[in-house]
Amino acid sequence: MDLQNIFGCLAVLFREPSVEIAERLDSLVAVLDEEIRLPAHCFSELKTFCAHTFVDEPVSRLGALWSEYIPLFVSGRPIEAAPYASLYLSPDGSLLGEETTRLRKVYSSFNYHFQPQGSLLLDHIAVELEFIYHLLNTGHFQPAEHFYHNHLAPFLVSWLPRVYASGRPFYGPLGQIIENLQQSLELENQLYLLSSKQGA
Amino acid sequence: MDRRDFIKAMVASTSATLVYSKVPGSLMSDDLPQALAEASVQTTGTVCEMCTTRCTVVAKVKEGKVAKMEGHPKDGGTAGTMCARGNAGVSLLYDPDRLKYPLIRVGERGEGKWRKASWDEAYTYIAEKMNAIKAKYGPEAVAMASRKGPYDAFFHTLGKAYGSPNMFTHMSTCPQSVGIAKAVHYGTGAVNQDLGNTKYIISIGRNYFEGLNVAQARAVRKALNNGAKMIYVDPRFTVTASKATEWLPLAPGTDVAFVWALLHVLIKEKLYDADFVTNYTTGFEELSKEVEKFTPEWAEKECGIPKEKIVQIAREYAAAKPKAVIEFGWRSTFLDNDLDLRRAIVLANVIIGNYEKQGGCYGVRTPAAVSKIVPDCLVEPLKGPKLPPFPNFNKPRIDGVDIKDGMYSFVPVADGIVQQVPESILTEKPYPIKGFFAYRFNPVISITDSNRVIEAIKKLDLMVTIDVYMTDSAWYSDVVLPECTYLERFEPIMDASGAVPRFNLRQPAVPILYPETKPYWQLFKELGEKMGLGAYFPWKDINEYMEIQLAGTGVTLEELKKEGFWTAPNIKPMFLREADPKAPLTFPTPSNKIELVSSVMEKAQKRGLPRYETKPQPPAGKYRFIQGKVAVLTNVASHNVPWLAELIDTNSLWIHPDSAAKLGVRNGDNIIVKSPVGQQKGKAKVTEAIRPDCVYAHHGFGRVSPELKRVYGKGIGSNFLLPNDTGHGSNTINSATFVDIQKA
Repeated sequence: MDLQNIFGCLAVLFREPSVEIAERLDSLVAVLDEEIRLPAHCFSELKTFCAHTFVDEPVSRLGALWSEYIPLFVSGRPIEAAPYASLYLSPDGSLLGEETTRLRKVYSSFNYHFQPQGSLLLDHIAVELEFIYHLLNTGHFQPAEHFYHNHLAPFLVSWLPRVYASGRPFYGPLGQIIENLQQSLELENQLYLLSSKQGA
Repeated sequence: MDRRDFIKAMVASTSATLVYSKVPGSLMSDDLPQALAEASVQTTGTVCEMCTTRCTVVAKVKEGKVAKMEGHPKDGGTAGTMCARGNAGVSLLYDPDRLKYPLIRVGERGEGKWRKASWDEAYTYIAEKMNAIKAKYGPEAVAMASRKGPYDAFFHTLGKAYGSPNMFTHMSTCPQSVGIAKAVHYGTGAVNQDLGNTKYIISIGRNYFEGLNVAQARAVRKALNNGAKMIYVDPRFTVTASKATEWLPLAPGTDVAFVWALLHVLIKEKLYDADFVTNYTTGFEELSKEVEKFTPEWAEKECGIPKEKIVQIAREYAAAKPKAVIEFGWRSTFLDNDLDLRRAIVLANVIIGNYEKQGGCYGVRTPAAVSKIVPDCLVEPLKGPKLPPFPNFNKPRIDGVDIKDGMYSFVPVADGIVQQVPESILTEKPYPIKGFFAYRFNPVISITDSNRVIEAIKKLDLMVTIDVYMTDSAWYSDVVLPECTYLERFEPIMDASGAVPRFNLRQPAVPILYPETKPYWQLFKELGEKMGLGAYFPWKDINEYMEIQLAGTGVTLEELKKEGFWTAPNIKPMFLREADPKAPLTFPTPSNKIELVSSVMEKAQKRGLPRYETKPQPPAGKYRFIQGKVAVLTNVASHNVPWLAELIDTNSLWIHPDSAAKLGVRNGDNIIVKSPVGQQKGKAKVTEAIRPDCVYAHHGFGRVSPELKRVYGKGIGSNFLLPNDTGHGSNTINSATFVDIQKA
């Protein structure tokens, strides 16, 4: 299990869909499958999605991804799984609340600065996943474990059930996979191991 | 490429959002405002947009986030106070349900299937469709409608440059009759009332404390605290009724008889200001003759108010003159005779000589107006950029307001009669409308007979909505363009003159939250450029536009930015007849006097004087449906705003206990309301605060866009019950429909 690859892969998958993501979707799913090593059936729905949506060109798959992404994360009735941590972790449950302020300070302490784009705010799930990827990629294992425990994991606990409960063909199973991974404590264990090595 | 390199490349190439700065502790330039904000609370003076009053406010920004909105402490009108809607602007800004990027419809209209589009893609889509409509039907086949505001400068420029005469605002669904009534008699709609200093107010349905304009509500409260009397006429016992000296629950439509009878007493008993009438008006003889038949005895039969009470009110009103007013009104969409009512109100103000007197009426002090009064005044009006001439229109407008001396020739061309749009779409008369733009305007809910509006939109070749939410009209659109909120943008400087010249500046409190939303000035400029109409937007950005506006005014942008508004320091509120009751005044009418008999209305409708026609009252078993405002909501615009929806997310049907007993309806029962054009479900609120022959619901509920999640499908949608009729004054008609009520 290579945590860098897992978090990097997830960061990309939860970004707003693009042609590049649509083109490489099979590879991204394959990386996740091989790194996470869950039972085969866990990935069957993602693979089925990939197989059915790439018709001649990535445009058809891109449309399929957007048709899920918008109601789930951008503009639903209501948004099925609003992807901003502050809504779940700030005391007043507001957008850009205290959790966002905390995150900005954490990013800044590692010299990362957020550049907004599309529907992504700095506490968007894709941005948090990207941040932990960068920490791991630069050898900051203890901060990564700390960030996971204090920010990402509590966010995921509240947010993931909404994602897989949506029944959306791609993001639903993806959410379920992360949930399984979280419940198995594998992510936590691996982060702990890395962190311990660094501490030692 | 190994797996790590692949992921690294994907993270880097698919729009990474976190940027690393190599210098420890360094800040990128675009983070600087953020860092400063974190150091303290920043205060930005700006202009609210939660309703069309546009109060000046301050936004308090802490750690880069708008933490609180407050009334502007340096604005004498609001004096630091603010309504619930203004407070809730924060929750609009940070509502995760806002529109975030352009959407193009991929499913059927109303199916809710969209694809994300880039701005360029959306502009191209719109431009191609508009060109196709122009080629097939002519440019007049596109109509555009907005809420009235500073944005019209760009929105309407776009439409006129394209070649369509069919530009509209929401005015005919709201206060249009009031403005017209003033314009056809005074010669200008820019006449205000000095409510704070008045001693006697007669208000016919102007619900100051729920149809909220904070400065006006404060002024009325000041007057009442100082001992003023207020007579309040409304079929419903509102909050304003509770503050009034007397509440007169007249039947809708009979209020005109009440005002005519007041005029009768004022003239018959010579209680008017004869000097004022002689010096400043024309047509008094004709008016005197006309009022003879409108005796208090006659009015008692029409409106039910005892004749003695009418005489008493007329005498009290006259005794308080000139510190007495009959409120002109705001939302003036009662019956087809609404303009007659407003005009009668204007006449009853004019003849007591309250014009340019403290506690009465006064001309709005725009810079242009003040420069005529105070010759050494340095204030110049705001300017606009020099634009190429607009193309000549091929055809008159669909509502005919541009036809010389036509029946609606008194209606401002900039506003028009917006409820004509769905009719022309459906009937193709006087010619087809195939494209419709709605900007900050929600025709599905704002125009009566909402189902018919939806039917009309479904027939269009192109429907474009520009808004911050997926409104009901957006839901049925082909293209939805996301605007940033008022707390994230500069806008053209607004001339907000009242008692003194004044400019207001809306400026951003925080940077744009969702980077693919845009301010409207940019949106219309870019769309114009895409359509080959860039010459009509000859300015680089909003800063350059604002500098053009201010050129020669003697006011700088930096001065305006300090507080978000500017008032002329050397000019105090003044009433021109206070010192000299015969001060020379001219009025922009054909006769240069206040025309009691309007030459404009005589030409247009042979209605030089307002008329009275008896209106039908509901037959047994039926009820007149009326609607109105509630203090925490703005017509149809703010219902889904998070904090406001927490306060009120549905309405109910007010019904008098006697009527409820006849129908077997109890408080809280589910009921069905049926009208000739539709039916709605809701809950009954049994209350004595409504006439037995009327039922009432707060306006703006019954929403049909599922993305307005907080109010979707809740309550009674009033405009789903009302037919789309137009009064002779161009107004929508909201209080003329009789409904059946039954227990669900």
